[in-house]
This record gives sequence, C-alpha cells and structure tokens, in this order.
Amino acid sequence: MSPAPGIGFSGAASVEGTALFSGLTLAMAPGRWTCLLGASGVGKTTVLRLIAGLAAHVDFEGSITATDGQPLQDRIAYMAQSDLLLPWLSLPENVAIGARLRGGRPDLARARDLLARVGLGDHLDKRPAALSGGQRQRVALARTLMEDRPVILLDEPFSALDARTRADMQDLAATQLAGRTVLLVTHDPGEAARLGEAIHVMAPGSARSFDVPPVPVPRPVDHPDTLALQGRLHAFLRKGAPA
Amino acid sequence: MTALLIAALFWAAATWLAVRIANSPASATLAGKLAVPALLGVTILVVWEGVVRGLEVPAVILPAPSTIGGTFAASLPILWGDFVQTFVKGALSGYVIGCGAAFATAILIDRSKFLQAGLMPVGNFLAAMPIIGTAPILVMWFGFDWQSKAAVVVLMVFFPMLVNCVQGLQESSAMQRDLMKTYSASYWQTLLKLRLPAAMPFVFNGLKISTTLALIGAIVAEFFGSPIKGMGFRISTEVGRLGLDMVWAEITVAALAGSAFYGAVALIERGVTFWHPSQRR
Repeated sequence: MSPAPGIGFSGAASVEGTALFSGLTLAMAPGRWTCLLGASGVGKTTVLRLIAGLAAHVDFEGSITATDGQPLQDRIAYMAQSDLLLPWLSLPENVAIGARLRGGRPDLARARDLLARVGLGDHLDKRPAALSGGQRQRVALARTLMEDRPVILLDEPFSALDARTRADMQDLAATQLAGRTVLLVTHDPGEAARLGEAIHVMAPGSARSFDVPPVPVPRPVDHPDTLALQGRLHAFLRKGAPA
Repeated sequence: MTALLIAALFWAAATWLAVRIANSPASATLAGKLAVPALLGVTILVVWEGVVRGLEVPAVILPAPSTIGGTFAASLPILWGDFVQTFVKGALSGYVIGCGAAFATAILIDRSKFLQAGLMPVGNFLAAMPIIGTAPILVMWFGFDWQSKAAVVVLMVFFPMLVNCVQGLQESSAMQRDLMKTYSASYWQTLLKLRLPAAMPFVFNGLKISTTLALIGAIVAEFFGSPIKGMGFRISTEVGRLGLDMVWAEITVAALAGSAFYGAVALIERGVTFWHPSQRR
C-alpha cells in the first residue's frame, strides 16, 4: 500500500439551481479517521461520492485534492451500508471480486486470510445467504481491505446493524483500517464520537467541526468523554445551533 | 354398467389409499411424495376408461384411454416423424433463434437509450400481431417446410424473452454498479460478472414461458400449410377424417414433449440460479 495521503475538499454543490451546500471546506488528515456527521439529506453522501468519483447527480464547483498532489483515482476503496455481496459467489470469491472484474487472477489465499482476520475463518465455504447481517458486513470489510487502497470511504457501513454488532464492527474496522485515510459518513452521533479523530457536522448550507477528546479511537462506548461528545453532537444535530 | 361400477370402486379404493399414504410416515419420503400424484393420474385414466365403456360414449366425442394408447403404440413411426418435424425442426430451432435474438437485442437496448426507445415498441408490435394472420404470410415467405414454422416461433417467443432480459439487466442495483466502478471494472466486465448473473432468474423466466409458446406456435403454424407430416398437420387432417384417437395421440405427444422441454429448462435454471431465493428449498 502506498502512503496514505490527506484529502482537501472545498466547494459548492447544487441540484438544478438549488444549493445543496456551499462554501464547504473539509480537510482529511492523512492516516486518520474523519467523520462527517449529519441528518439525512444534507449532502454527506454527495460529498463522499464526489471524492470517490462516482456519479453524484449534482453540479459541483470546487476542488478535491490529495495532499501529495497525485490523483485520487484508483487509490480509493468504498464500503456502503448494504454489503453488496454477490449471492452466487463464495465468500473468498466475493472478497476477491476486484481482481475478477479487472480480468486478473483472484488471489483467493489472501482473501481467505483477510476473512480470517475479520473473524470469519470458520465460514469460508459458505455463501452470503448463509450469513447474518453482521457477518455479511465483515465480508464487505474484508473485500474493502482486499483492495489495499490508502483511502477508504465508508458510507454508513454499520447503520443497519444491531447495537452490539455495530460496536464490534466499529472496533474491527478501526483496527483493520489503521494507518489509512478514512472518511466515515454517518448519521449516528455515537458512531462519530467513537471513531472520529476529526468530526465535521453538516447542517443545511454549512459544516462545523467539533473538538474531540484525546482518547485514542476506537473510544470505549462508555467512556465519559465519548458520552459527553456524543451528547454534544446529538444536541447540535437536533437544534442545528452551536452547542 | 359393470365398467361404471368398477370405475367407482377403483375411485373409492384409490381415495382411501391416498389418504392412508398422506397420513403415514411414508409421505415424507420421495416415494411417498410421488405415489399420491401418480395414484391421481391412474385414477383419472381408470375412471375415464370406465365411463367411456359404461356409457358407450362415441369414439368421436371421447375415445377411451386404451384406444388412444393402442393408436399411440401402433403409430409410433408416424408420431416420431411428426415429433421430429414439428418439435425438433420447427419449435426447437425457432426457440433457439428467437430467444438468442431477443437476448442479443436486450444487451443492445441496454447499451443505448435510443435503441430502447426504438426497439421495444417494435418488439411489442411483433408480439401483438395475431398468429393466424402472420403464420400464412410466413408460410408464403419461407415455404411449406419447417423453416416457416421456425419463423412463426421466432415471432412468438421474441417479445416475452426480450421483456424479461431487459428487466433482468436492470436487476443489479445502482450501488452494486458503483462498487464495480470503484474497482475500475469496465462495462463488459460489469456486464459479464455482475449484471448477467443477476439477470439470470429473469432470463430463465423468459426461457420457460417461451418453451410452451414455441410448441404452440409450431403446431398452429402447420395449419396454414406444411409437408404431409408434422403434429399440426396430423391433427388438422385427422380431425377432418374423424380419427380422434390419432388426434388424442398427437396431443399426448405434445403434452409429453412440452412438459419435458419445460422441465429441462427448469432443471438448467436450478443449476444456474442456485443462489436465488426462489430456488431455496
């Protein structure tokens, strides 16, 4: 894996003349977790899709740059809320899908290693339909790791999981993605409070960044600093005013 | 009257036996599951035979199963020749050409919005044409032999297959396609590795619907001109000669061939789309 770059995002997006956000500036530090928190519809996912180079169906004016000056293309891996596993492939084949799609030879041995690292070593011969929702997200995480990209974009990857599984997955992702530049888009203040080394809250039209406690991520769910931060984020989300 | 009595007794005995099997542990086994439907089939044949004999129904109205069976066994070479002419040459080749063309068209349509706007209505138009109008025209164009029957079958299967394939290609979600894009997958790789596999349940729906359409099309097309063989030809001429036992024998062949054709496609489907929830058992 090449060294993880930082990412600078600034600009304005509009949909058919109506501004979605404007004057938004985000700086993602290299090798750190940046959380983008906000209610549904404020344009968090749009920011992520713009960085990923996917069709965002907005008019965007602004710049997206890597701090090392190289293009971001082919240095990004993406993980979404839905696991998007292909039901006809086995787990290692799903994890190694990227190579198959580029017409190369899938490295199934490495795929099995990664599955073992995310705790699915006993399920290698199964197909996705035989797994629980949490297990399927683990496979998706292994697939994201398989690409070995320095920049990881996570679009609410844990929001469909139950509270315990979600906390487990947050720990696992924090461990496995250490050293990469991660942008986590979420609507869950608790998730941002646990994982954010920088936290930006998007409200209609603007973004505000929050100071984070010096506790290393993943912060314990019951740490007073985590809970206090979660409370402040939650209150800000509800009022839309400075906490 | 004895025949009627025997039929009634057999019915009662078969009902009793079927209930016994259904309520016994044997109903869980494969043999038990097959026994009850098989018993139903045999009962229908026995009652049919008994009613036809007991009430002395004229053979033109309804021949007894034994008469049909006798005709079937005595005319095996004729029936086989008709089967090859209508099913293998007419229906099967038309099925392959029609479904293949629809599949290729679906991929073209999927690539271009322009073609989608242009070709779907054409497909719809072809499907809306009445077969009794198109069949004689196609016989004029392609001659009396199986080629014209295959052409009729192509017309019949093209649209249902096209609609299913186009729908199937839209089956993979936008998010899945986004994921493929982040993997730097090209259009063709995404098509081959993601969208075609995801489309297979729909493609096989089209293929299954088309099996019965193909056979019907090939048989009916022979009503409008054919060489002196073929299932449709035999049915129309034997009806004229009041040889209803032969008509029933041809119907039996058509039913057997149609069921086997459908079953074969369904079997392939089970192998290809083993992952789909509809195949879970």
